This record gives sequence, structure tokens and C-alpha cells, in this order.
Amino acid sequence: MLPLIKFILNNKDIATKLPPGMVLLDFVRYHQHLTGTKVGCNEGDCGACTLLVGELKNNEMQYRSLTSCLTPLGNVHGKHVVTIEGLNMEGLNPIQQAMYDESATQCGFCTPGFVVSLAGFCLSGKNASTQNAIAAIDGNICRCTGYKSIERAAAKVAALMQARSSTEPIVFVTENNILPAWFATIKQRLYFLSTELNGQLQPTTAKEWVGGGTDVYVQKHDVMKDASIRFLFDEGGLKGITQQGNRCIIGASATVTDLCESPILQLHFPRLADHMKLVSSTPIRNIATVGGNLINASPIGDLTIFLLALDATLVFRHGEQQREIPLRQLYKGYKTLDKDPKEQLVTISFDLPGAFTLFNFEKVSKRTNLDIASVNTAICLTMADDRIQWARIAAGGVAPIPKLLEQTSAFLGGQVITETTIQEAIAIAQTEISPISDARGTADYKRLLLGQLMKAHFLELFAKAAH
Amino acid sequence: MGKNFFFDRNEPVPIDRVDGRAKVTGTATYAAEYKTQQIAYGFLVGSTIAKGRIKSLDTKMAERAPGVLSVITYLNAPKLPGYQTGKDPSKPPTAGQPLRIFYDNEIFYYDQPVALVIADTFERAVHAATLVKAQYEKAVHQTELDANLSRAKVPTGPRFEDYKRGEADAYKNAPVKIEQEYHHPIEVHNPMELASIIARWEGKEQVTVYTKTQGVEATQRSIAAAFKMPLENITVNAEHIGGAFGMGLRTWPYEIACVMGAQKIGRPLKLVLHREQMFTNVGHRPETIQKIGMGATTDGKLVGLTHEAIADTSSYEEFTEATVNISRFLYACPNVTTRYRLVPLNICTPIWMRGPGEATGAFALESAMDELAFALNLDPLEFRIRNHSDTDPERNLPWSSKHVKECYEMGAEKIGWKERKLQPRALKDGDWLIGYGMGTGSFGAFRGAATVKIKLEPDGKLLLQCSVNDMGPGTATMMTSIASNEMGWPVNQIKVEMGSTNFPPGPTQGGSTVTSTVGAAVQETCTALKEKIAELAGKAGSAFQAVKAEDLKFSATGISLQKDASVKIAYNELLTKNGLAALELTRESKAKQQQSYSMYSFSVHFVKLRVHPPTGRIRIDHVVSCADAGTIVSPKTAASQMIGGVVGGIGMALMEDMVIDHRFGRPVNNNLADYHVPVNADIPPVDVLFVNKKDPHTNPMGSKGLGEIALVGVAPAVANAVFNATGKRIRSLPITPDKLME
Ligand SMILES: Cc1cc2nc3c(=O)[nH]c(=O)nc-3n(C[C@H](O)[C@H](O)[C@H](O)COP(=O)(O)OP(=O)(O)OC[C@H]3O[C@@H](n4cnc5c(N)ncnc54)[C@H](O)[C@@H]3O)c2cc1C
Ligand code: FES
Ligand code: FES
Repeated sequence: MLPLIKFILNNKDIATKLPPGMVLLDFVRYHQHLTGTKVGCNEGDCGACTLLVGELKNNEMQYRSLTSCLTPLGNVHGKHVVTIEGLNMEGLNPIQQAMYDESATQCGFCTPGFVVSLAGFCLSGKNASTQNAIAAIDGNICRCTGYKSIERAAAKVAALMQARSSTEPIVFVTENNILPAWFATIKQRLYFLSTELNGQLQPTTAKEWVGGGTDVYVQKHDVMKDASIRFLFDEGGLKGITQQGNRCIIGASATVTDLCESPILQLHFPRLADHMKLVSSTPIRNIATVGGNLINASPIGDLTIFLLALDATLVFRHGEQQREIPLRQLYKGYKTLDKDPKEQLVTISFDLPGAFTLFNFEKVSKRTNLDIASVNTAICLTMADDRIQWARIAAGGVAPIPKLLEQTSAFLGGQVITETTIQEAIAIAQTEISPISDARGTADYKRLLLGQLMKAHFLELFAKAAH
Repeated sequence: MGKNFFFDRNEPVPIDRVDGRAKVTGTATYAAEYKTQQIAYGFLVGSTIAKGRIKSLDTKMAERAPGVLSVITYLNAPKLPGYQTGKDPSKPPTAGQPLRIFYDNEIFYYDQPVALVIADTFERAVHAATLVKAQYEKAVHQTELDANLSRAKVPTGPRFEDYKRGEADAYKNAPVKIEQEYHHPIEVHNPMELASIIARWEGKEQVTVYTKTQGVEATQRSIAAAFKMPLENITVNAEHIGGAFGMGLRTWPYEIACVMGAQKIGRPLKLVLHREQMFTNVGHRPETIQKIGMGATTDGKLVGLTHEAIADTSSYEEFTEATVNISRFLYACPNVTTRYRLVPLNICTPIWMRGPGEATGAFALESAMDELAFALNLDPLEFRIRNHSDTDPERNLPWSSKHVKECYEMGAEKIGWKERKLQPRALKDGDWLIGYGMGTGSFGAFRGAATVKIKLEPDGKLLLQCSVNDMGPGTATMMTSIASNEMGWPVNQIKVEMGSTNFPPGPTQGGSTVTSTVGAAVQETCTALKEKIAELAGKAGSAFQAVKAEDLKFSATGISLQKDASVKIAYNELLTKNGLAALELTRESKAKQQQSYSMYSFSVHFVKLRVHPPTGRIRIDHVVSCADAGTIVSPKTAASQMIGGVVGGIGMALMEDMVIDHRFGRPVNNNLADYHVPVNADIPPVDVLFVNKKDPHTNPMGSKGLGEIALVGVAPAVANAVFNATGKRIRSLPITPDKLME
């Protein structure tokens, strides 16, 4: 029997027995006839289907944008879902007005997605800079306008939010008529809704496990709707990023956005924001989980490469049993893991970089953002004066698995950094990799690129640091 | 207000998009969104081979699947009484036989539809589609242009014969010359909206369709031809379309399949393609291999220019475009030879994509101009000025207007061209190399025929109707703007209805012709309306005896005498006195047969960019695009249009590339994750500058087209800037990091 899924859609309470694996986009467009949300790709690439999802976090509403074509209904159970229709007020709201005034719509097909993303920016509590407003639309593609008019509209929206200071975003936007007044009632209603919910969405016999869904729904969209699914995204024990001593512990269902916003990580990885903005796009980062990134075993998973260089340890659970395994031992071959299908990833942990530890991440993709890497690499060095005490370097896109370059790492340990050391390290790395030619570049190009990115690591960590 | 006050003054008032409100609120309705009772859903099953025959088709399982209403294949498809023939004017100028869907068992390209599965829900149709089992008798397919050059042929028809002015291949004897080959891959339009259609039959005689077309009448004619029905029994609607960039310029087989399917099941049917099918079934910009030979005197005067292009087409139709034509007239050159060839491949027929052949041709020509300028040790801008064509050398006619030199000047100033160094690699910023480049674009300033109906209500509301539709450039806005200025009415008193065959005939949205064509028609209709009002005023009261339109001042509520504002009459009174409920009139407007001028729009694009040699990364810092497009009718939408085109050009230059795995003849990057179109972060500041001078000959407003020149010339500007930055001449698009890494 199908569970009853409850959530609030715009200003309306929903209780549905439709399959929890059905994507939110289909529910909204086909079952609710809210056709303002568009379909452009069904694979998370275009942003035409962007919606907002709000939930209660520490007694505040937290809204995030997401791609509804990849989000199962099961992941919005107990939450507030907002479509373009839910942003409409009498007359245009100021976001829409800005888009209208700046001629930021041509064919109009992408437009609702942009408006929703900008509303997401208003509700995000992010600093009201133009840069942040523009960052909020990094997952939306427009084929007509050339984006400049949309950027101008985004700047206007940012200006609108500047008066906010410490007011809770949802209070600010309703008081200032940026969004409909009924948004103010949502917190209370969600609170009541949450008291009615119980764990009925977690069948233990489920065949499919879903985190954010950004990988499974691309791989097997059509079978997911009727599959029996266990939804991990909101599972209590899998959330959160905490520190124990100098160890950082990340719940398997922490999202990329959670990483970006974690004070612990921000403190220890000063360039975290720069690194994370290279990963997919805002709406994908909002739902893509660390666990999903590791378990989907893509040879170019950004977080995987990141965590390999940090020598992360994984904890798996199977019923009552727990097992620890270093990430570097997880990948056995292309998309094959040292893991029983019934084992669930619970946490990922690693030593936080200390005062003498340097970390860097580099990624080159064909497009500026919203693109999978051609090659990515992360490095973690522990220094003793001028000498590398310890090195770990990982690279993606150069082998069938996300690759820890063990020999290169071993070589670097004990070295003083000179031009020659770097050249030698690159030469050793070349012997460890086996890239193939594909849409992201030829094998030769990827080889060259890895060498250049290794140089970039040292440049970033030493030459620039020297300045 | 004088008759041409607005256009003579040349300072149009910017107005906002009239459809903006519907679009920002998500209430604009696109083809797949029309609500119809009892709608069924279709899904197309595509061939898994690229050439051969269907050996067997097993549809039993699919037919038995839940909710399935019908599975249509060539075995059971209703025989359409007639498919389009070459004589249909609505069809692209292709020779050959358009693909007849479900006609027989022959396979011409990968993913060619072999079955249409229809079910009561979309999911059920998709599921049942997986149950259709087809077996094929494979033949050897050809999808690789390079490997098939020996099969290149001159397209059918006199327009495509080799062109020669002066001596053939005279460049060979010039003191300074270059000879180079340029390549660009298949590009796919990929509008954000998927190709979609709903077809609904009323009885056996009448059908209504909502579809993603750039010309409702063209679609109406194609359906009429295929089903041998009278035009008036077919209604085609396309009020809003979510971009098309050319893919909606013909009626595709999937549209015919949907009309056929709806007829078969006796229920309305919706058919929406998957993104993957957008790569295989609705055309593309053909791949080309171009050769340019170009020679000049040592002081930089062109002596000879030879431009050859070989492009792909399908194995069943010849698709042609004006790839080499731009070389005939853009520069003054006494000896010009052009040759154009097609290679039939196992691929869907191409279709014009924004700035069509002109953009492809300009990539080669304008790259070559840069190469020859470099060989001459000349500034490429100076080289172009020295070879400026003051009259059209191809037709020996004066230009209706040409302000390219002004574009050069404005753009050079704005981009900071004087910072550019003749030698590459001369400008650096840290690890990055900086370069400047430019490219020129051109496109014919055509004008077609359009009929506009206008209706004046007693309360001064104006309604304009025309069948033309709008894929994004803002046609309704342009019409409103012109009517508002012509009548002196505020824009909120004017309503435009369009995008349906229920309205008087308009042109297809394409080839940058709509503003010229429909704008002129709106203007002429408004003029006629004013004359009619004057006539009615004369009949209505002695104060207006024998007045002419120019004696009157028109306001939104009524008219008064120019020379005495106190003599006035409201429209409701005027209409009542003439016994009319409203005043309606319809005018057809078209260009007079004009052979005395050569009419083109021009653009000049300047690019400043940086390249990071260690990784090959390219970042464009600034684009300045200047357009000589006559009068700019609606500045806001025009600027948007222009930037959109520039970004299309950046996509062409840096990323767009449909890759085919020739072993199987199928695309490998048929999704938006792997086929890259520019995202926001790829786009630098873009400045758009308009010459904004009225063309005295194109049409009454003096406008020329804008949509295509926005893109034509951008790709070579980028390639030329890359050369200036790095010294690397990339002659094969797209310019990806692997080509630049050092
Ligand atoms: C448009 C787009 C852009 C992308 N860009 C990038 C990019 O730039 N870089 C990048 O690295 N990736 C990218 N991805 C891939 C993807 O988003 C990431 O890999 C993401 O982290 C996957 O997480 P998820 O929660 O969505 O995974 P899901 O799809 O939910 O799950 C993936 C797999 O992991 C399993 N799984 C999830 N959690 C657990 C658990 N706790 N225990 C056991 N198994 C589990 C699931 O069963 C499934 O098999 C992109 C994807 C899309 C659609
Ligand atoms: S439809 Fe393209 S991102 Fe969802
Ligand atoms: S306005 Fe057409 S895709 Fe953005």
C-alpha cells in the first residue's frame, strides 16, 4: 500500500497517495495542472523546472531551490513546495517586475525558473549582494536573452533585499510585499504538519535508496516512479556536520550546500566557497548529497576527489552491524564498490587540516559552471618547514575510478618543493593514470591537463601564499 | 503629429514587452499546455540503426500494455492521401522527398520514428514504447562528412551553380595570399521548450493543432497537403513558443504523426519530444568544411577571393543555405569565385539555425580576413576599411543603406581597439594572455507580405490581429509600439492578437523579416484607419467637412482639428453617427518589386578575451556588438535580441558541437549536460550599439532585420581574438581548452 504523502503546495495542503517515487515536476504539472513550471530536459541541466522547498530548521523557515525533475515526492514530505504560481500576487511581485522592466524575458520559457530561483535568493538569508543574486541563477539556462537583462533584474532584486538586516527572510519578504502575505502562515502550518507525520515513508524492504536523487533520477528516471524506495535525504541520523576533537564528521545525507554553509568547514577550508561553486549548480547543490556522490562512484565526482585527498573514513551500517573502511579502499573498478548493496553509508569523517596542512582543489570543465569536470584533482599536504611531510593527491577523470595517486603521494612525502620535484611528481602521476577519450576531452588532453592542474596546486598553495 | 514623426525623429520610446506579464507569472500558454478534454499521450519509438530496413515489428506487447490506445507503425498507419511535394511554397527550398512518416520500412537516419505509441497517460505511453520490438536489416550508413567528400554534389537548381566574378581563383596570383580550410561541427538549435504538439479533430473534417511552429500558415499548408484537406478546415495555433531559432521553420514528421494519431484514435493527442529526440528529429545546423583562398596586393587591396563550402544534408532531401554568398558582396574584390556542395548523409534533414549559412560562411571569411591582414602586417580593421564595398559588387547596385564604417568606428572605440597589438601574445595579465578580435556580419533585409486587421472600439481601444507568431523577439511588442506611435495612442489602449490561422495571414517568423514585414503592415493599416476615421468624421458633422487625416489630431478617446483643438469628436459619437458598432478594416502590405537597391543589415562584433595557456581555459572579458539595422523600432527588445544572438555566437565559437559516433551513426552527447550551450557565467559584459539610421528604401519605417546579424560574425571575432592572444589559429570550431593548452 502506498503511503500518504503530505506537504503544502503553495498555499494549499496536499495529501496524496501517488507513488512517492514520482517526481515533483510531474505532480505539479500533470496532477495539479500548474503549468508555469516548465520541462526542458528532465535531467537537472536546464533549471526550467526549478521550485522552492521550505522546511522548519531551528524554528526558522529554510528555503532552497531545487530541480523538481529529479526530486521525488518522498523528499518533500512534510515540507512547503513553492511554484511560480505561489509567487504570484495581485499585480507583479517585485522580482517579476524587475524581470519585466529589464526585458529579461523573450520566449519566456525559462522565465518562471529564473523568477523562482531569484525568490529562492530572497528567502535564502544570503547577503544581499548582486553577486549572490546572480549566483542563485547559475542553474538556469536561457537560450534567448543572453542573460544580461536577467543579471540587471537580479541586481534590482538584490537591492530590494538590502534593507533586511537581521529580520528572518520570510518575515521580511512578506512584510515588504515581495512575496504573498500568506507565506507568513507557513511556519505555523508546517509545524502542525510535522506533528502529524510519522516514519511511514521508510519501508525497510525498499529496493532503491535515494539521497537527493540527482544521480538515480538521471540514470533510471522511468523505473523510479513505481519503485519501492527508501528516502535517505531527511533521515535523522544521516544529517549534520559536526566536529569531534580534530575530526570532522559528515552525515551521509549532508548536501553540498550544507558543506558550503558549515562553519566548521569554512574555518578549515578558507577557499571552500570557490571550490564548491565549481560543483554543478545551486539547485543541484541544494539536494546533491555527499553519500550520493561517493556511492554513485563516478570517476569524476567532485566531492569524492575532495574526500580522497583528505583520506576520509566511511562508516557503513547493515542492520545492527557497523563497519569502517577508508574511502581509498572503496572503489574496486568502474562503478564497482567494496560494499554490500544492503550496506548503508552513515558517516564520512576525516582529520581537519591543522596549521601545517595545506589543501587545494582544482577542476577544469568545458563550460564555466554547471558542468562535470574533464579533470579534477585535490591535494592535501602536511608541511614541516619547507619540506612536505605527508602528501595525498587524488584525481578524477583519469581512470575508471576516482583515483588516489598513491605513488605520486608517496614520492612527494619528504620532498622540498622545487620545479624539479613538481615535474617528477607529474611524471609519476602519468604512470598511475589511464584516461580515455570521451566527450570531455581526449586521453592526451586529460593527461596534459592533470599535469597542469598539479602545477596549479603548487602555484596556488605556495607562489600565491608567498605574496 | 506629422505622419512619420516617430520614425523621422529616430528616437523611439522604449516600451516594455506586452507579453512580459504573462511570461513572468508563468501564465503564458505553450503548445503542450492547452487544456483539452480526453487527451491522450503519444511517444515516438526511434530506429536504432542509421540506414536499412525494418525487418519486423512486434507491437503486440505494447498494444496489450495498460492504457494503450494505439500503436501506429508503417504496417497499420492510415495512408495519407498526399505528402508535401516540392511545389509547396511553405516548404523549405529543399529538393528531394520529405520524410513520410510511417510510410514504408525504409530507415534513413538514427532515431527515425518507427512507431507512435498512444496511451491514456504519458507514463503509460513511455512504458509501452519500451515494449515495441523492432528488428532491422542493416545497411552501411554514412554519417561522417569528412569521409564522404567524394560524394559531394552541386545542389539542384540554378541558385547554387558556381559563382564567378572576374577571373576564377585569381587569388592564386596575388602577391600576398592565404589558403586555408575551416571546419565547424553540427550544431543543434535546442530551444528550451521541447518540440510539442496537440492535435484535436472535430469530426472527420476539421482539425485544430497547437504546435511549436514559427509559421502557423506554413504548418496549416503542410497538414493540408499531407491530408489533402481544404486549408479552412485546419486551424493552427502557436501563440507562444519557447524559442525555436529556426527549428520551427518547417513542419516535421512528428507533427504529421500526431495529427494522424489523433485522427486514428478519435481523441485529442499530445506529442512531446524528449530532449534526446531534439538532437535527431528536428534538424540541425549542418556541419561544413570550407576552403578560402584569398589574395591581396602588398598595400592590402583584395585581388581575389575563392570560397568553397561543403555541407551535410540528409539522404532524402537537399537542404541548402547561403553559406558562401557573403563572400560575394561583403568586400570590394574584383575576382570572386564561390562553390557550394552538399554531401547526403544518414542524418535528419538540416534546417536553418539562427544566422544560418551566413554565420557559417562568415566564420570562414572573417577568419581568413584576419589571417590575410596578419600576413600583410596590417591591422585587420584597417584591412577591412581598405576593402569596404561602397556598392554591392555582386549585383552592381547601390546599397539601400550601409553604415559598416560607423560600426567599425563605434565598436573600436568602445572595446579599446587601440590597445590591441599587431603581434600575438603581446598582452599579458599574470598567467593569462589577452587578445582582441573582430568579425563582420551581414544578412539580407527582406520584406514579405502581411495582412493586418485593425478594429477601433467606441472607447478608443484598438485591436490588431495577424497570424504571425512570436518565438521570442517581441513581435507583439513591436506591433504595439508601431501602432502606438502611428496613432498617438498609449500602449495600454492597444491589444494584439496573433499566432493563429484564425487571424489574417502574416509571414513566418524567420530570416529577420518580421519587423519589416509586419511592422510595415501595421503602419499602413494604421494610416488607412486614420484616413477612414477622417472620412467618417466628414460624414459625421459639418465641423469636419472634407477633412484629411493630416488635418486631424488623434488621441485615444477621439479626434480634434490640428488647427483648432476645440473642434473635436469622441470615437463613440463618431461611430454612432455613422451607425457603426466598431470600425474594422484589413490591409495587405508588401514590398514593391524593387530591384534598384541591394538591401542588407550589417553587424560588427568586437571581442576582448583572455586565454590561460597552462589549462587552455578561455574567458571572454568584453563583447561590443554594433548593428546597422536601420531604424530600431523597439530599443529594449532589440537590445535583448542582439545580446541573445551574441551569446548564440559565443556558444558556436566555444562549445556547441554535436558529436556523432560514426560506428553507429548516432549522437553521443544528445542531452544538455553534454551538449553545452552557454550558461550565465560564460557571458561577459556585452555592449550593444545601434547606428539607428533609417534605411530610406527597405520599408516605411526604415528598419532592417536584426535577429540574424546578432550572431553572424561573432564566432570569427572570438577565433580572431584567440589568435591575437595566443598566436594559435583555430580553424575548427568549437574552440575548446584542449586546442589551446600549451
Ligand atoms: C545537472 C547535474 C550536475 C551535476 N554536476 C556535478 C558536479 O559538478 N560534480 C559532481 O561531483 N557531481 C555532479 N552531479 C552528480 C550528482 O549530483 C552528485 O554525484 C550528487 O552528489 C549525488 O548525490 P544524490 O544525493 O543526489 O544521489 P542519489 O541520486 O540520491 O544517489 C546516488 C546513489 O547513491 C546511493 N546512496 C545515496 N545515499 C546513500 C547512502 N547513505 N548509503 C548508501 N547508498 C546511498 C543511491 O542509492 C544511489 O545509488 C551532477 C548531477 C546533475 C544532475
Ligand atoms: S527540466 Fe531541466 S532541470 Fe528539470
Ligand atoms: S527567454 Fe527563451 S529561453 Fe530564456
